[in-house]
Amino acid sequence: MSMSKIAASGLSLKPSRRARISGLALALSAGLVLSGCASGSDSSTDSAGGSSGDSCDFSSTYPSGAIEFIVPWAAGGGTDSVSRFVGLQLADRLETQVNVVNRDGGGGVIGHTAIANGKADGSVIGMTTVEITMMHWQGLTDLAYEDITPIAQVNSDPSGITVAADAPWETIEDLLDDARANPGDIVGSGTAIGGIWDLARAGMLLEAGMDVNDIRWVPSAGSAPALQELAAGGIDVTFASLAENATMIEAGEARPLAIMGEERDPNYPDVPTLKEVGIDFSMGSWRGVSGPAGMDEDIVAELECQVADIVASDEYVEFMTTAGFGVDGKDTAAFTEFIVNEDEAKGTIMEAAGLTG
Amino acid sequence: MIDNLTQALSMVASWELLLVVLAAGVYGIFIGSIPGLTATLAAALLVPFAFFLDPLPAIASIITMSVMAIFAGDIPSALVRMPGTPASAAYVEDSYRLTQNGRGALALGVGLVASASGGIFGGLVLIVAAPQLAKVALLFTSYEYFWVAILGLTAAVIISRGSQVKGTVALLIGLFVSTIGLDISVGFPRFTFGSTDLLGGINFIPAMIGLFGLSQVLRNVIHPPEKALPIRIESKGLLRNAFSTLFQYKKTAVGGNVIGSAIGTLPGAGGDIAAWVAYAVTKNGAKEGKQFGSGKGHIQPIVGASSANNAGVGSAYIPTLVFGIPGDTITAILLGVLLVKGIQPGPSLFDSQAPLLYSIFIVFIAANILMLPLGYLAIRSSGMLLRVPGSVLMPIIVAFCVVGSFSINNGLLEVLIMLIFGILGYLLEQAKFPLAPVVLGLVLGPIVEKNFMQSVIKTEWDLTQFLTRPMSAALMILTIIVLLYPLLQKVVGKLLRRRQL
Amino acid sequence: MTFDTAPEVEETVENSEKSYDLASGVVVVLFGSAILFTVRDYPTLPSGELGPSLFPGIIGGLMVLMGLLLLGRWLKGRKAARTNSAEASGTAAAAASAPANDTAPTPVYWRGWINAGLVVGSVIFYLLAVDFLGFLTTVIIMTVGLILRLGAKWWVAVLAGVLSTVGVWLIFNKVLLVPLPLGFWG
Repeated sequence: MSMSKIAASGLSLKPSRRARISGLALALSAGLVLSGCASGSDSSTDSAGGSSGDSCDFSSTYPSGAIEFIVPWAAGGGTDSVSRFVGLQLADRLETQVNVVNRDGGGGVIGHTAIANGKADGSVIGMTTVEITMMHWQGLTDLAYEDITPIAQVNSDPSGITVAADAPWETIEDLLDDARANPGDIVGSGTAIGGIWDLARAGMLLEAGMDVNDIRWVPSAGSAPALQELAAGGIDVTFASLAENATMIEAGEARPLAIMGEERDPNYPDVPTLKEVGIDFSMGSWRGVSGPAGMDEDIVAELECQVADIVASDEYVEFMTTAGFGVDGKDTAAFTEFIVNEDEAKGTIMEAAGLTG
Repeated sequence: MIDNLTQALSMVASWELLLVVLAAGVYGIFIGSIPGLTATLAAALLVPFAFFLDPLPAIASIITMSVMAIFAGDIPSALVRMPGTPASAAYVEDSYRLTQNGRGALALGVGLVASASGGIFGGLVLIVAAPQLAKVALLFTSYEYFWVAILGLTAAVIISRGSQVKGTVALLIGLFVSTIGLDISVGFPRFTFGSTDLLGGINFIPAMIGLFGLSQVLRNVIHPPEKALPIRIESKGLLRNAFSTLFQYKKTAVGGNVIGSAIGTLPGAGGDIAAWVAYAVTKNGAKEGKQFGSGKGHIQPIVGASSANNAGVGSAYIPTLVFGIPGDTITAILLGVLLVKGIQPGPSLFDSQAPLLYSIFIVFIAANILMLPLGYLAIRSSGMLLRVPGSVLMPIIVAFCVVGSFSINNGLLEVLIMLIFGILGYLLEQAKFPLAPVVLGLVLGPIVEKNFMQSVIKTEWDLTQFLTRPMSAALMILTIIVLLYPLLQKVVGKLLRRRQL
Repeated sequence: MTFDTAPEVEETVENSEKSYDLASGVVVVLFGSAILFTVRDYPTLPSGELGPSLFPGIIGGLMVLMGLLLLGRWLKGRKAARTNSAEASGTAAAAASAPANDTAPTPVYWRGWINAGLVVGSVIFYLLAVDFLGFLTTVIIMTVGLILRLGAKWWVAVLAGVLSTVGVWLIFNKVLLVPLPLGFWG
């Protein structure tokens, strides 16, 4: 069994044997990446392997020691497994030790604060998630995107709208019509009140010209408990990424009605987007690597380049597709702009839904 | 099923796992046989290791450790009249008196085989009952989970020994600590006083290490246990005599098994309580019951209570795995570890993680079989175990408490939490407040609150749903029965006494 | 079924027990009141009902109630202690039927309190010193000091302290890969 903290079952909803195999696979693939860095990705042209001689070596002094990679969410979750994969790959590419550390709690505030408070020399980085654009509006913290240095985005997943298999609604329009006719009778769940999937619900209703309380929200500790409530008939609809609902959908116990993406999910080609049914709204969760504010430009450039290489690698795409996550890479400039826009959009919806604190 | 079983067998049959199980077994016997160091302390100190293991080895280590520690608690009872763990306290007098009269080997041997058989019985109950209950639990919504958690809280206070007022206070302390951090309904920071570190709440693991680890060290250095030289025992023919004695009292053993399993299944009540109840039942049922605990000592209550406490250890995993509601303090600690590792126990575990579950079952049976040789060796070398000087052991435990709580988050806040809970645990024990309800309050508090708030938000404060849903109502009635248990016990006791007169 | 409730019985026998009731009753009442005071201005649910304050409110209220019950018991016990010596001897016999459920507190020596203070102090020492001294140095000082203080020979203390610390360090730092602080060594 992998006793190490890094290789400990990052994909850990599986029992130990499978985790061990996947750990081995990770190690193997990491080895492949190291030897085939240049051939595996188009962006790096000259091939020396390792950090000293390759095309990403923008900073001559970095890294000078172990890197702490902070995950603002609990072990075993989606952010955790993506972070562990990226962390392991970074360790190989930078030829240094990368300690992936979970600092969860407080709705992501604790981990994001730990990233922002770290030394800005690149020895502390972490996985920022969509919550960084939400928690300060909620009044939980003063911490916002200005306190971090965005480096590169690695993933995004649009919100899905899922109902139980025996639910009376066949399409998303059915659901919304019913909610219009009987305001407040339908209840949904997926996160705490004011969480990302609650915002997806509120934003969708507002964009459809409805009241935010036409579909009411029941807080839950996450999408997994919400799904169990859905299966047991306690709630009517869950809002969460389809990846999180995949097992229930495959088992035929739940049906996706729509997703809130820009385009359809290739895994679910029959599920329409909200835009297709005339609601111009998209929302989802995303993840990206960031560091504390005020990082040296060369270090940011080096990390940006390395993360971009990881995101472009076949291993990453395969890992993400298997786990059901969407691959969505953005470089530092695009990621920074994206966060600024997201922050504004979240503020507008939270204000309208009465969730600001 | 067969598929799951073969997969489970291949998961269990690995050198690493066997090594972990063996190490955990030796560790459990060691801690369990030292007076003043409880099985819960052993669990709390094991957690930092389990935290870094894969799910199966982590669970296996805690199971093996607890099974061994509960048995090993018998050893100092017999040799120096101090129970090694609270679960052995019920029959300490009988054990010691038997030893004084030259029958110590028999007392310990019977304790060993009764423990093993009780453990296997509890394991079988777990294997049979858990999947069935899981089917029922699949239909649970927030109302039912609310009631199961309330049942656990009620049982923790009512069936615990000692003052119920103090038990309630201990429970309330645990519940209060669980409310620190962001609240579930609107995400409001409670009792954080502006600190970002407290937004995530009090980390459960350092709290446990303090409550059960450091507090025991404080107790031991403030009230050093009297030096008692253990009585030597003759271990020849130990197992053979033990088996024949167990066979002689097979009815008592089966009774103990059934009582232990039933009490263990109840959320919030574990092996300690099972042992006391089984002791009382054996006493009431036996002809010479009135002489138990006096004279030359009696073997029959040891058979009953010793098989009950280990049966309770096994069945305590039923509510833990099926509902995610811990059966006793050790399973509460295990639950905390599982949650940290991203495994949410509950009925879906029986679908999605069937091989893991079957592996847990196999480990259970294996650990109880492994208990026979390890326990035998422990009895043989018991004199040595009891001579480990406290002056060396206590500081090492302090070091483990510190590094264990530190390593959970690489932070000093956790060490501070450990220290505060250590002092709190000592003060509570000195003032005769039980510690177990604190843990259960900590673990069950969020479950109660979350499911209550979800339920009322879902129905816009229509509270009748808590009473009218059939399963809700059944669980509520069960809770009321537990609540009225002390009253019932008094009435029944009076009736029995009248009949005897 | 009459499995005994010996601790209850014992408490009426032991007089010192009642002083715990007084102290803990006062503390519990004060603590419960403090909770109630803190939650009084917590926000409500969007729909207007009690939200974050409901659960802590119940806990605080029950704490006050339980604290009062403890105080009531203390008062009752004080009255009963003088008059009921006859009953006490009766219940003592009942208690003897299930003895040793709790280890009877041995007399407290001031030595013990100093030792406990040193245990607490050693943890505080760790909190203050570990970032500067590093894990190994800090914990070796802690364990060797405590073992010496608790009465072992000096060579036993040094040997056990150093070996156990290095063992702990190897397990956590090398096997479990916890980055333990190096302090000025690193």
